[in-house]
Amino acid sequence: MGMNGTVIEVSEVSRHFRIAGHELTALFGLSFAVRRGEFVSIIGPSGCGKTTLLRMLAGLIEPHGGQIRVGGRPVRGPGRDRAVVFQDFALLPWETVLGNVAFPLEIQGLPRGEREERARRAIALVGLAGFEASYPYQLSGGMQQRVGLARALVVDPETLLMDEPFGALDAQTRHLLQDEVLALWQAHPKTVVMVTHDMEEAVYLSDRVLILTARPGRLAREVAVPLPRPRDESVRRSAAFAEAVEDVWSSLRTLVAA
Amino acid sequence: MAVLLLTWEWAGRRAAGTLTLPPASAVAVALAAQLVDGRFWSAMAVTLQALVVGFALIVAVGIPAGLAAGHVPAVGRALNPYLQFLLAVPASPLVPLFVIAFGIGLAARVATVVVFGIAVLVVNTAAAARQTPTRLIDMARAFGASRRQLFVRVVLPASVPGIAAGLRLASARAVVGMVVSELIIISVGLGRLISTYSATFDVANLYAIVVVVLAIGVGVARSMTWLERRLVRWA
Ligand SMILES: Nc1ncnc2c1ncn2[C@@H]1O[C@H](COP(=O)(O)OP(=O)(O)O)[C@@H](O)[C@H]1O
Ligand SMILES: [Mg+2]
Repeated sequence: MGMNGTVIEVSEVSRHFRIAGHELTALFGLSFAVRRGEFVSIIGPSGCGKTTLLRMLAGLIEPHGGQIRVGGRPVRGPGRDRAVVFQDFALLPWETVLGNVAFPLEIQGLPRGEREERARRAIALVGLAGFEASYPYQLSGGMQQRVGLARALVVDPETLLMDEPFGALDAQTRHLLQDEVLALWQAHPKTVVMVTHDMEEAVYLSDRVLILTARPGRLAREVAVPLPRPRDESVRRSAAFAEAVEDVWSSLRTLVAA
Repeated sequence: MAVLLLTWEWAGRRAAGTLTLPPASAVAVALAAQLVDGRFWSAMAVTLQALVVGFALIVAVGIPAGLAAGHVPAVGRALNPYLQFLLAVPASPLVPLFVIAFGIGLAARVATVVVFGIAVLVVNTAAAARQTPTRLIDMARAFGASRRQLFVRVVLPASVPGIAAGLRLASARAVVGMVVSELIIISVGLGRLISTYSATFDVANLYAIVVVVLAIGVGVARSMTWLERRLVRWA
């Protein structure tokens, strides 16, 4: 682990894409750090490179400049210390809930008995006990993302990477799942990096909100969220919450000047 | 169906004495006589042999080739011209070439069945493998899947609907290949019966054999649809 409890270090990271012979800079000179056990949200204008950043943290793609270190080591690909929750759930449609949640353990080569036992526990943790034999198409969006969450938790990662995990859900379901993620995070402390475009969600869940500029994305500002924990519905209605959201919005407003 | 049969009977009786259309009842009588005739069944066996062997080859070669073409871009690029050729060009003119290459035995008829059916299976399988959702590939890689695990646990199952659809289309074309091979040059099996009855203007028996060939086609199509539904319950 890094010094001062730093788990994730993003230093001067850049990433380009070639589209139709055109060089597009998605991220340029982005730097920030995340401490162990911290819940950090990343927010910024659409297309500023948030998903790209998360894919680099996950080790799915490499930076073209700068460096990303997780747990003190440069990221060289996906690793068991990190797990990803995807915006579009990314469930295997031909697998049951149990099969989907056990999938990462199957990849790791665990024997069937052990991986199913651990998968059942993770499924219960996200409130889906009884749905082990259901297929994704039989579940609502909220339930599908619970499966996505259980699949990430089953590997007991040190770091959870979430790309707009509630972006595809309706408002009520989103609130419900936010509260459940908070409760899970309190009970099983992990470092979390969450990409979102929802300011209230960012403030409600996070210790810190990182605001990125429009493309090429770099750090515009970071806002420490001064709200007490544990947080619940009463926090959502507090004046301090509204103030923190307003603070984030005041920065974002100037960046999204479209 | 009943209306169709009655119309056929009526039209057939009106055309009585001409050689164009026998009444349905005459065809039914001819068919019943065929079904108790040993020569009919040996012709049937010869015909089905080419279909079964040919279709087995289509499956054994077509699915792996399609998966390779869809999963490995270089293989896909290499196979594509041949697939496009097979799909675009009528395959019947190739039958005489097979006869020259393989003689008039089973091999030439099997080759015809394969050439008729295989391209559509390869193309469908390849398209399905290629269109494996990127998010699923990302997901599997993020959880540490090896290239092999990625193929076996994601690309292969994601291709099953395309494979099933390809099998259905390939089986229909294989039946056409089966009939064509026996009508062009290689006169054996049901195709030979069709040629004989048509040469002797025995229209009732001719229609009876045609009905049998149609029944084979429908039976194959039905079983493939059933298989497709079994394989893709999750979609
Ligand atoms: N695989 C890719 N190929 C080409 N361009 C890409 C790719 N991924 C992302 N981009 C481009 O990079 C920019 C940032 O994308 P992304 O990280 O998805 O933004 P965000 O998640 O913040 O909306 C966008 O302009 C997008 O079109
Ligand atoms: Mg995104």
